[in-house]
Amino acid sequence: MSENIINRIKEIYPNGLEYKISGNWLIIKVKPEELDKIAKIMINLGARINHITAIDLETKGFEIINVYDITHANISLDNITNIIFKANISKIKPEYPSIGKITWQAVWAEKEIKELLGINPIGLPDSRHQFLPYEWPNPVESELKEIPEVNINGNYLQLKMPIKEAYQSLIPIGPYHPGVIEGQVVYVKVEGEEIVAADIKTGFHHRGIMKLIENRGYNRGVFLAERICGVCSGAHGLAYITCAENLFDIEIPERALYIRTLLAELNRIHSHLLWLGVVADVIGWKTGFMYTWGLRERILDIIESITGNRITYGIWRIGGVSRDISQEIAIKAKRAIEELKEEFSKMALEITNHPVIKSRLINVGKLTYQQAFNGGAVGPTARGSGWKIDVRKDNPPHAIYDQSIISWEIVTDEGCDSYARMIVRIKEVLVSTDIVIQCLDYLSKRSGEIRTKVKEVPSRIEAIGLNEAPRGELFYYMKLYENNNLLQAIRIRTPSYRNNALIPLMLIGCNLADVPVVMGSIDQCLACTDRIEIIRNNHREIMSWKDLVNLSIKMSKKKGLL
Amino acid sequence: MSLLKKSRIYSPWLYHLHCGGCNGCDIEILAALSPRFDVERFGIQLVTSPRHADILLITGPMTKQILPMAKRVYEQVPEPKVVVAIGSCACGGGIFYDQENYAIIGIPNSVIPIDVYVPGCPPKPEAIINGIIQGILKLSKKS
Repeated sequence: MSENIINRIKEIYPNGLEYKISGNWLIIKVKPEELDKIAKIMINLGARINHITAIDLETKGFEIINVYDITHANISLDNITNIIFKANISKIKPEYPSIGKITWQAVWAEKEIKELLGINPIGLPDSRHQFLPYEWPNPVESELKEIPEVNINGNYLQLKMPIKEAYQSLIPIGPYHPGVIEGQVVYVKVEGEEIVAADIKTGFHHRGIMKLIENRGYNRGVFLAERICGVCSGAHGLAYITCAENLFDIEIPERALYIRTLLAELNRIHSHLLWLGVVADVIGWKTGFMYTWGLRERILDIIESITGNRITYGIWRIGGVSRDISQEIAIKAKRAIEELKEEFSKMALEITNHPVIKSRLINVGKLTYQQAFNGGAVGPTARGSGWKIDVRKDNPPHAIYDQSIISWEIVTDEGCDSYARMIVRIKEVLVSTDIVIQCLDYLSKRSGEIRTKVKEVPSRIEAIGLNEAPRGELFYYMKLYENNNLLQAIRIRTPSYRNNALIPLMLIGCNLADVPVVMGSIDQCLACTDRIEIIRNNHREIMSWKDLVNLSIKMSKKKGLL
Repeated sequence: MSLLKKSRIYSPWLYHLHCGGCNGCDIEILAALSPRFDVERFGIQLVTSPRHADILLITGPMTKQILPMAKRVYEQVPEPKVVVAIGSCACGGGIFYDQENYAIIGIPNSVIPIDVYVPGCPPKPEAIINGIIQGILKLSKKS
């Protein structure tokens, strides 16, 4: 069967150096010069880029890794969900043809490669810093003469104005701004009230988590993974253990799978309610904020009764979960969630018909289906543009999402604006409550094991793990050293990271007052986005060794020691 | 007690400064303002400008990139002011603290003088309210 699959992929792409099947993934080694051709072939077939990243193999050079999702593409390869293309390049001349010039989906990922590892993707359309510190000289002025305008079709139009003049008419928003809680800078260029161009700079919340997980090993990494983002900590935990479990060949007990589904869905409900409150606050509807946050407390009560924590659950383990849920709690939680569902349904009607909400959200932040597809939107942002993708169905994480066991469906809306994205989220809350009720039914009636012992040595050296976080697709990639059990590299691509790249596009044509609404409508989570980037000390206050010696002599003299 | 001092103590205003945390503490601060915990019964209000604030709430391990902006915001808060560190990260780096971590300062106290520490990952809203009350007591001594 595997030969059959390989023969079929050879018809599409015959020039691979090595073809291998590992689980649900097809791994193909290719020449680095061909990466852009492959991207063209895959995009034309309708495949989606999961991530483009690179790994430092020390003396062996760099390895470029391109992961494509083919569940919605025009290729049928039986049970294969992802194709991983790998290419080795030398450290003497670390270059390869850029994929960013073919599709906008890859631009931010390639910027990351360039900043993280110093690899040069030739022809990368927007090579400015995304994550480097603020006090660094603006690379736009040194490298580029003009700002490239966001154009997801691949033809990057240039702004007509020279850079100095363009910046004079820009309005910077952030990093601390009342409309946006977290730190980021959005430059918008306005003509009167209307936005004609926009640009985004993130990177203020970088904490070096990927490096920390690599140092601490994959067993302890789950606690760090949960703290990538406090709002979707459950989704991060599930994605991390899905990835780590894919390294092993183990069966996870059914009860543990149900508990995982339960928590992931409770997490989604709490996140969407939180989002509704924040958007209500941003558009000046304070009542809505208080109302939704009051409801959200009930979800947190259920989570606290199950895990003992409100925000970070800490129960995710490789091979299962660490805490069981008792029958009493399950019955109580079910009653609470049914009450919540009833109240939320009433509230949803009120919110969707509210004149303030309608006037502030309809036709604001337009993102058409084609734009979402070409730009690589994920999650409710993609589903609000009528694109039916959901990781829970396409690449299910290690939990119960089989539609023959649990009844649920993917919610989409054709509106393509902020209002459509809100409708998708409201409907998703209702779908999630249904899933939670079904899980609690199972958990209150049956009992069983919640954790299996894990074999000591993983059977694979690399694995990917995906999960549908409240904001969209969450991607984890792990690679171990070939001869020992240590983590060589971990790469994470979060949903906000991909949707943020589309913000400049959505802002064009909006009013200045709509900026917080548009940014809010994709449910940005910058704590996720900024976990990777390199910080270098180029701050003026750093002292040289000579200064320090002089200072210490001065201080000692003052104290009368010298 | 002068009118100014009285009004400052009975109605202190908060400014929330996000210094690179995971959002966990930030949503707990907002939860403290929501109807269940209702911190407004102490006359406390969240304001959107640091120039209006009396109490500064800091969350997160203070990343190197946010440092210049955080310092500026701290300087903009008028005297007398109290800084409350919310969460383990703001108290001393928390889970992100590592000798080899290149991205964070880890000990915000070395940059911004902190008056009250509220540990926890994240602390519960009750603990945050308690921390704010301790901050008010310090504020009454300072003014």
